[in-house]
Order: sequence, then structure tokens, then C-alpha cells
Amino acid sequence: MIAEGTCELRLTRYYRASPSEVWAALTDAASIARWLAPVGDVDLAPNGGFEVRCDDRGLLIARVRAFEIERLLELDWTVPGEKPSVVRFELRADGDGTVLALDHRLVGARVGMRAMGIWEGHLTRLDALLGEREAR
Amino acid sequence: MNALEALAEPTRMRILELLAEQQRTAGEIASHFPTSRPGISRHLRVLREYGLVRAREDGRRRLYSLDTGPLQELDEWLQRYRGFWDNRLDALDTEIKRRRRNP
Repeated sequence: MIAEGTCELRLTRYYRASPSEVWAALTDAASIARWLAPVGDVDLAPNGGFEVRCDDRGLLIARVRAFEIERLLELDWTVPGEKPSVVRFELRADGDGTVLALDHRLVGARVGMRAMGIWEGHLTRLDALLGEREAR
Repeated sequence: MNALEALAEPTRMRILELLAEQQRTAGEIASHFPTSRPGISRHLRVLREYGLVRAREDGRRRLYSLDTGPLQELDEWLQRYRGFWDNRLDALDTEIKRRRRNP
């Protein structure tokens, strides 16, 4: 899904665990190594961060932009050969569990969804045209 | 995201909408705007520089059309990370359960 005005990916998950449990798994170095990727030192202070080796992507650098314990973690996300982006995890208690909202947005990609709409329609037409050509 | 910055301008966005309907000459495009023809040409030049629009000569006319490449790139980025985070957030669930078993 893409939010209005930005190029952004948003996923939400519900975990049967308290926000403090989810936060611990999200931010503990040993845990990060298991759910994300092998990781070096993790320093979740302002301007801190961590580096992870991500299979085919090389060395990924995550730098802390903002954090609030058990609620928010926002990272500058730098991958070689990719445009800079920002990853944001937000936790919210929900009944017996926790809702995690993940936003991953490209820096500087502030465009209306109108633009994506234009391209989507255009690509669909293009597909249709190519299909016709192949059918002939 | 250069192509996207180029898009974030109302006149250029409108030009792209016109070109999404069909290919057009600069004159046809300009007729939809109160802006001067040179102004439209400048916008078209920016859109071409960012690879959002292509031009081709058709006899004495120059026809402009959309180039879908740049936003396909964006779409690929979204698809790639959707898969990546789907897997990682599943793994986070596994990790939460693991921590509970081994406090």
C-alpha cells in the first residue's frame, strides 16, 4: 500500500505479545540477528545504529532517527546501490497483543498518488497493446 | 528520487496526465494551459531529462509521450521490500515466541 503523497510501503502485524515483549525482540542485538540479519554492535541511542549483512544486498546501515522505548523506532536505511529510505516501526497495545505498523518510505519521493495512477493506467494499456500484438 | 521530484509540480503533473491519454505535440499540450508556450517547453525539457517523457519526430511534428520506465523502477522497489518485510515480520513473530520460551 502507498500512502497519499509519498512512495511508501506500509505493513501492519498483530502479535500475541505485550509491547514490551515485541520491543525487546525488535531491538535486542541477538534477536535482530535472528529475525532480520546477522548484525554487529547495536546502539539504539540518538545517532546510534547498527550494520547488518543482508544476503544479496551487501552491508546495510541502519541509523537511529528517533526512538521511544516500547513505542517507536525510526531508522535511516542505507543500502549500497539503493536510494536512501526511512524505516519506521510503531507499536501500539491492542487487547492482549500488540499492533506493529511498519512504514518504509523513499526519501524525497513525495509525489501524489495521482502520478502512480497515471502510470498504472498507462502500463495496463501498454500490457493490453503488447498482448494484442502477441495474439496476432 | 529525481524522477519523483520532477513530478512534484502541478503543471508537469498535468502535462503527464495529458500524455497518459495520448501522445501530443508541444502546441497541443500548451493549449491546455494559460502558461506561455516557452514555459511548457521548459517543463517538457525537465520531464525528458528525468526520463518521464520521450519525444519522437513525426514528419514535421515532434510528438511527446510518456516513458513508463522510472515509475516501474519504483514499483519494483515496493514489490521487493513488500516481500522482504513480510518475511522479516514473520521471523519477528517466531523470535517473540522464542524469547518467551527461553527468557
